[in-house]
Amino acid sequence: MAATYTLLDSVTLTGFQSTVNFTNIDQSYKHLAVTIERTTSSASSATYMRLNSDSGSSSYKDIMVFAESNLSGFAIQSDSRGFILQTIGSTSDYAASQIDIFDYSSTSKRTSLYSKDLMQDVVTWQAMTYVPTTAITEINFFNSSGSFSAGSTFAIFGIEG
Amino acid sequence: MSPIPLGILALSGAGGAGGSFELIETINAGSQTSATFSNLNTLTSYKHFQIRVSARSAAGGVLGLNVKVNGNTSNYRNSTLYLNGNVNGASENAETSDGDSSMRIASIPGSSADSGLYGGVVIDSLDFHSTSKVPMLTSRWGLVSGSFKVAGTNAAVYKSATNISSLEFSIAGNETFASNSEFSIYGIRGE
Repeated sequence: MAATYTLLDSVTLTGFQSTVNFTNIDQSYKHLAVTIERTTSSASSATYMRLNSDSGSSSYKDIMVFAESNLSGFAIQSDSRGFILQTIGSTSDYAASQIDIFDYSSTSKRTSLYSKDLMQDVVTWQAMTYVPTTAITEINFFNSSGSFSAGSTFAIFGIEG
Repeated sequence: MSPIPLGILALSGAGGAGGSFELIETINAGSQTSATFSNLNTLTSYKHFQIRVSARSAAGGVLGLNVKVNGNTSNYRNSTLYLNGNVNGASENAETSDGDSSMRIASIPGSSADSGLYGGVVIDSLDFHSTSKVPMLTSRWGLVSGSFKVAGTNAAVYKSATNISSLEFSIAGNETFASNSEFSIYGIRGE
């Protein structure tokens, strides 16, 4: 039986880079998984994930819980920057994220996503909905300030179903 | 701070290259009241399994997604941590129950949620052939719409040591799955 968890693309940065994009995503899989490990050139910089280069403020809805010294959470119903993953407090911090994207090629479903984000002293997890019923063909990552630093890695996997 | 090894994410399926993470079966449960994976005991090539769900109920608001192990209708214990949110704040909730008739493994949206909204769920079970361990399923799930904003993680057990030969998914209240509700099960190799 063939492998059904397939690396579609990956990048490891060799220098500062302000955006990372996965484009022309293969539509022959059922689900996607994205893993990221990143550092940034700017402290207190939030990483955002935008889909299909969509900057519509009503396209992104998510609910996030984060565990730091205690549990807390909030919902975001409108942000044209996309889904926020996690804010990296220091340029020496690494953050890791795993993002599940369900039935991403469907044109009848709103795309559901789930992510886990890990950083020193902080764990977050969140559920997200990309509101338009369009297939996900592109994923864009960028920061609220600064760039991703050398050594940051991004990978996208296709999962058959 | 040192880099975080991405291997810590492997439990959820990352790093499955080389045929170690393989699709076994997909069920389209549309218009059905249940979706059942059978004969799991014959999947001797695999140590663990993962199930990925994209599902919606044809009725209701936010409803429980339940699962029975080997057709058993009692002797389950469930734990849920979930966030029920709104824009100005969100509440964290934890629930446990014992002696249930099925495992509560997630919540999914129903017909009163935004059209086209399907709950995404990932379920893991480790060492499912073991006859000396209590079957445990863990999950992560969520749904976000204008009316409903919930994200959670569950752990549930069937309280008798047995291997898992079948899993039957259903919706609380015996509701029907909406069209294009899909369940895929993947085998994961291991020593």
